Amino acid sequence: MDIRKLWITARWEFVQKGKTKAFLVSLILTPVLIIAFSVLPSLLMLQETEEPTTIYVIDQTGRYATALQQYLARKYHINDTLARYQLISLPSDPAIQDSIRQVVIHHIQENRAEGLLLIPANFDSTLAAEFWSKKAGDFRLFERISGALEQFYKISILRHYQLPPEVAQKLEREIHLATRQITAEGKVEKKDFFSQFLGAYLGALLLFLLVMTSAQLLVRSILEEKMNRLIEMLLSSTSPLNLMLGKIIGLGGLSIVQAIVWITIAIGIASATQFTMANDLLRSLPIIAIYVVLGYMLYASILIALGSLATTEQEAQNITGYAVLFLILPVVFIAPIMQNPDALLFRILSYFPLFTPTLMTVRWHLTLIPWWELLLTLLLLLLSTIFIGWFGAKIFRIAILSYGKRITLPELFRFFRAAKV
Amino acid sequence: MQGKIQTSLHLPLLLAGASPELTPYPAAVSLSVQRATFQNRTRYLSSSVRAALEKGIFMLELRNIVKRFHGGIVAVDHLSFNAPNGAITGILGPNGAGKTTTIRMILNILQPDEGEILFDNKPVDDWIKNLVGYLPEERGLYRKSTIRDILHYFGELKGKTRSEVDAAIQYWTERLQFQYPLTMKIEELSKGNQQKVQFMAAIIGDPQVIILDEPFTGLDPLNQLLLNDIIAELKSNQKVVILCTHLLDAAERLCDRIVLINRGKQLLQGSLGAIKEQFGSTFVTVEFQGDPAILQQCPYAHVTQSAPNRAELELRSTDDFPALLKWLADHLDVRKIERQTPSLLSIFLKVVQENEIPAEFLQQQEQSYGHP
Repeated sequence: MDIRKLWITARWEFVQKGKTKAFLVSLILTPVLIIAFSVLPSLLMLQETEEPTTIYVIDQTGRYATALQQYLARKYHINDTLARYQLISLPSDPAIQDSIRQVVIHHIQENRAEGLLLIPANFDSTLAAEFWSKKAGDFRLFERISGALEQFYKISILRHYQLPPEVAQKLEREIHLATRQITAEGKVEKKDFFSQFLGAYLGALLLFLLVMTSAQLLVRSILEEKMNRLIEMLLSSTSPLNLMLGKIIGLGGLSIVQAIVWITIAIGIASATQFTMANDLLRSLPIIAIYVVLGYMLYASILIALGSLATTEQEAQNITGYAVLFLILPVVFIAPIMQNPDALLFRILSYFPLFTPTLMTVRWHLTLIPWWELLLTLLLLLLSTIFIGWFGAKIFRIAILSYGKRITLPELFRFFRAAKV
Repeated sequence: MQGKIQTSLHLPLLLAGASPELTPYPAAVSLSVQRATFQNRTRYLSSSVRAALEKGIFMLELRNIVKRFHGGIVAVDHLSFNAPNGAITGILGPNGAGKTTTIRMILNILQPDEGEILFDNKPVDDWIKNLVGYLPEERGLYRKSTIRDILHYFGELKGKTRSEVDAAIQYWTERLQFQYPLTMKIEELSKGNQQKVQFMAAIIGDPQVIILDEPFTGLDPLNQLLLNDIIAELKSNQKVVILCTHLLDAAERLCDRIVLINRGKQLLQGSLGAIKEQFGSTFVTVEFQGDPAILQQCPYAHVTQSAPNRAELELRSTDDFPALLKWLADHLDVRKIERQTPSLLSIFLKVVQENEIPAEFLQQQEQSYGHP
């Protein structure tokens, strides 16, 4: 191995790929897109109109409408004086029901009212009511109304059994359960679900983005050299191992620049919203960084070996697609991991090198991992990265010089035995 | 277009040798830089190789090289030849003869199954890569990168510093009459100019051994002349020049030594003069106007090669030469007659069984016959 030549190749890849429009665009555009796709919709959803919402009520029981009006007004308001929901009670006289409903439907269609709540006479026994609206998907409004109905039903039962009103009022109150996490240092810290989730998946997300962008660049760079036969001129100047490691390091460096930019953005956003989360991220960063860098090296070696077998860009994309699947797989287990990060299955899967970086960074954030488990997974990851890198170099050495035909499995096996690194 | 006009303007100078306004490359760089370059590039080499390079006498030597590929194909079958410095050695043969495989073994990209490759008596290893400049047959460059970036990359990979590469770029762009700004991207250049950049990339590291694989492919006649001239310059600068080609005509005009191979087997090797001597001088070239078909009826000689206005004949007996002269004068409007040693092609045809010659090979020779 010639460190100087390795460095020259690394610098070449770093500078040349860093200068491309594709890289610069992905550097800026990716975080923008992620924010656009994840944060914006929830922000939009949280935002409510400044106008009160009119809701008609036809209450055939005669007991709910007023109570609902009071309950909703107490709970949801736009400002100190204005209630969010204006409940207008309509006559429940069966004789004029049809014409009333015609008018109401007309109003709803013209956006003069949001909806109509229909409480049938037998509500107390069936507990079934209807809400007519143009927007069946507005689950927030839906939930609030059903919540209010349920609450009031319970209260009316309690009243029925002659509980004093102040007791009933006490029962109206809601409970808040705040989560606190015990850290490795034995401290108790405030955490909420959102910061837990983001912190846990930061490593997985980073690795995924790095592999998707930089490793794709890596494969494309090999393929370019292979297709235009530049590889022959390169190999007349440097060894395949130097070339491969130079590429991995050069493009890895580029990934690190990318990661720093993205993390800075993430921490910026986090500290703008919640200070504790930013602190969390900063503290987890060293461990996340080690797993992510090793994980990147592992995936890069796999992709470089597989990519060098390809003869067209399409073929390369097919091959690399499968490798990237392994990255996504742990993400599929989000819910069960968050529920029980210490489950035996996840502990075992953490030792499988392709899953180690994602699973361990997720679990590291969610639970207390014994130091030996940390070291053992890191060691396994390191060893397999070295082994796969060595194996990849062997394949790379032969595959980059064979054009036009796909290499079969038996041939691959022969390369493995025959080629020197 | 602009490049071509420039080329034609400089043509008389080129034909006369190096252009007077250009100083030969080594002198263009100061002596101290030269020495530094030399030491920098040779620091990985063994002392004996370094000594040979300093002395200026060295040789690339292949001894009984065998390379087998999977499926029992013997790509190179006991190949042995020498390529000394200050000479042009041609590796010649049809496509698929094993030329590229041989080159890859010299470059230490592939390892021979048998035999050894020596540079000044030392078996080659990765250190050879700093001494070799290679222009592969198939051309291509990083399309999105600038000319300067690419030349820097390849120069530095050969162990040169950036300033040394800059001096070399200065020299070679002038020498090749390359007049485009170095900040241009490769994709903005014409095909011919891309080839010039690739040629520069191959020799920018001032290599001691230069391997050119089919360098004339795709060049227009003017640039072929320019390349001829540069190859001659590399030779006079005491480099080992290895020229791989299937065009025997071109090889014949340039090479001092040849290795003729077909289907991996070595047919002939040695100095071109000695080989020609060995095959006698029963050949006559004739340039004429008229129908070449009539030559087929000549009783004193048979046609070994023919182009519309030029043919090579082989005498049935050396005594028939006067009779042939008379016959030609009677049947054709003869412009020039020359009795000469046999062409490489006719030698090739003599030593190869007819059924072992690839079909397109003869066609390619005919097309190139008589070109610059």
